[in-house]
Amino acid sequence: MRYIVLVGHDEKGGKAMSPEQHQALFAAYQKYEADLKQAGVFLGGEPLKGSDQGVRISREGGKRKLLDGPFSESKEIIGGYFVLEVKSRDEAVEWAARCPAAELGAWSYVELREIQEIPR
Amino acid sequence: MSVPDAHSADSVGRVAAAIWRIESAKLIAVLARLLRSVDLAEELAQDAFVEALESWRKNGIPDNPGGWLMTAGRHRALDALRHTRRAERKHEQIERERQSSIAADFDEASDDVIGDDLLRLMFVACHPVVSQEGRVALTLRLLGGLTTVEIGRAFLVPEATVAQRITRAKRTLAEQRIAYELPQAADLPARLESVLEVIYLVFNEGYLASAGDDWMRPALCEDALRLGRTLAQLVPTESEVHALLSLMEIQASRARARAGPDGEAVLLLDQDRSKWDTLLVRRGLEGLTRAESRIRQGPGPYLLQAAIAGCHASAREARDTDWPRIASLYAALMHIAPSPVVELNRAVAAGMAFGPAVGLGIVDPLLDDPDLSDYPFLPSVRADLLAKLGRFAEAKTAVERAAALTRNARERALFLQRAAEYGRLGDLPHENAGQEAESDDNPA
Repeated sequence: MRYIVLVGHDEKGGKAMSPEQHQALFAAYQKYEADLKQAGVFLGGEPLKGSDQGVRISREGGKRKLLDGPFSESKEIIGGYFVLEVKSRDEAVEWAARCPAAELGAWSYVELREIQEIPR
Repeated sequence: MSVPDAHSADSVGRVAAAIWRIESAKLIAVLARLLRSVDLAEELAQDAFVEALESWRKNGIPDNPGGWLMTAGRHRALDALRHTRRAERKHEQIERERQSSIAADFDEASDDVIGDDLLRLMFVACHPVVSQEGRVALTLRLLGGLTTVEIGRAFLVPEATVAQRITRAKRTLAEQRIAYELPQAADLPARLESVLEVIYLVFNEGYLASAGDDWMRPALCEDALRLGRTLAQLVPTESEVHALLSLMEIQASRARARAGPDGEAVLLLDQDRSKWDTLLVRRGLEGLTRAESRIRQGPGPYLLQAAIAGCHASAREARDTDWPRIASLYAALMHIAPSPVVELNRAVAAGMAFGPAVGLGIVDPLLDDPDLSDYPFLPSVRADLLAKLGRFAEAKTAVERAAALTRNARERALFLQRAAEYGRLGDLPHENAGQEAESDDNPA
C-alpha cells in the first residue's frame, strides 16, 4: 500500500528560523530521506517552492479565476511530500511520525494520506 | 516466538509489528556485529521485542518506539557479553576491551555504521555455502522482518519446514565458520551475485504465483522490491544492483495488466498498457539509466534483462516496440549468460524484428535441446512462426504438442484454441487464408 506524507507548515514559522536552524532542518530532512531509502520504502518525494510562487485556479460563475500566492487566508501550506510503500497503516504512521516536520512544534505538521488505487 | 504480524487484533500488537518491520533488520545487524553471531543476535533481538511488547501493553507505546527497541536490544547484548566474560575468566582482559568498545560502538552507531551492518547481514544471509532455500528463508526472516509463519505461507510449505531451513542455514554458517564480515574485494562480484539471486528468486516466487492465491505470495514481490531498494541505497556504485531493482520495478509495473477478468494470463503484447503502474515504470527506467551509467566491464545479465524490460516499458503501444534492439539485447545476453530460454526469447524478438523465417531459423536448432524437451513455450513459439509463414498444418501439430506439455489447464485451453484455428486456416485456399481469418464471422 502506498501513502503520501504531506509536509505542512506555517510559512511564517519557517521564516522565523535562524540560518543555523535552517541548516539543521535541512540535514534532518536529508537523514530522513536516507532512512526511508535504506528501509526500502521510499518511492519518491520533493520539496515544494513557497506558496508566493503558487497559483490557485478555479471556475466561478462560468469564468476561470486565478489567484496568485501567497495565500494569506490560509496559514498552513504544503511544503513538500514523500511517497512511501509500506505493508501496513501502522508502518506508515510510524514513518510519518519520524518526518522532521512532525517534530518542530505547532507551526509544522505532517499529514498522512493513503493513495487510492484506481481500479482500471 | 511471538512476533505478531500486521494483522494482530490489538492495536499495540499492530504497532509493534510495524516497528519490528522497520527496526528488526537494523537491530539484528547491529547486534550481530557486536556479538559476532547472527544466531544470538536474532535471539536477543526477539527477546527485546517480546520485552517491548509486554512493556508497551502495560505502559503504552513510547514516543520513540524504534529507539526503545534498540536500547532494549543493546542491554540484552551487553548482558550476554558480561555473561560470556564471567564464563571465560581467562579471556577477561580481551572481553573487557571488547565490551568497552561495544559500548562505544553502540553510542556512536552512526548511519554509515548501521548501513554497513545491514549490508554485512545481507551478505551473510545470502552466503553461497548455504542452500538456496536456506538463503531465501534467512534473508526474509533477518532482513525482511517476516515471521516463519509468513514465509511458510508465502512459499506454500509448512512453518516447520521453514524453521528447519533456517536452523540448517545457521548451522552451516557456524560450521563453515563464516566470518561476520563484508566480502573481500576479490570475492565481491560472486557474493553480490548471490545476494541479487536471492532477491530475484523472492520476487519471482511472488510474481509467478497465479492470481487468487493467498495474499502472502504476491506480497513477496513487495518484500523483494524493498530488499532491492535497500541494497541500491547501500551499494549505490554497482550497476547490477540498480539493474535488478529496475528489472523488478518494470515487471511489477505490469501487475495489474497481467491477468484478465477471470484470472487468466494476459501476454505482454496483449496487455492494456494504460493499466501499467506509471510510477514504477518511471522509477524502473530511471534505475536503468543509473545502472547503465555504472557499467564497468560490459553490461551484466540483470542490466540486459532490465534494458529489454525497458524497451517494452517505453513503447506506448505494442506495435511501437523496438524489436531489433530487443533482439540484439537477447543476443548480448546469450553471450554472457547463455541459456536455451534466452535463445528462445531471442527467436521471438528476431521473428518480430526481421520476419518469421529468421525467428524459425533460431528456434529449430532448439528442438534438440534436452533442457527444452518439456517446455511448452518452445512448440508454442514455433507454431506462431510457422503460422505466420502460412505453414498451418505444421503449426497445428506444434501447438498441440504445447497443449500436451503444459500443466496449466487454462494455458492448455488457449493452445487448443489456437490448434483449432490453425486447422481451420489450413483448410482454406492459401491465397485467401489471411483475409478469411480477419473476416471470419461465419459460424460454419
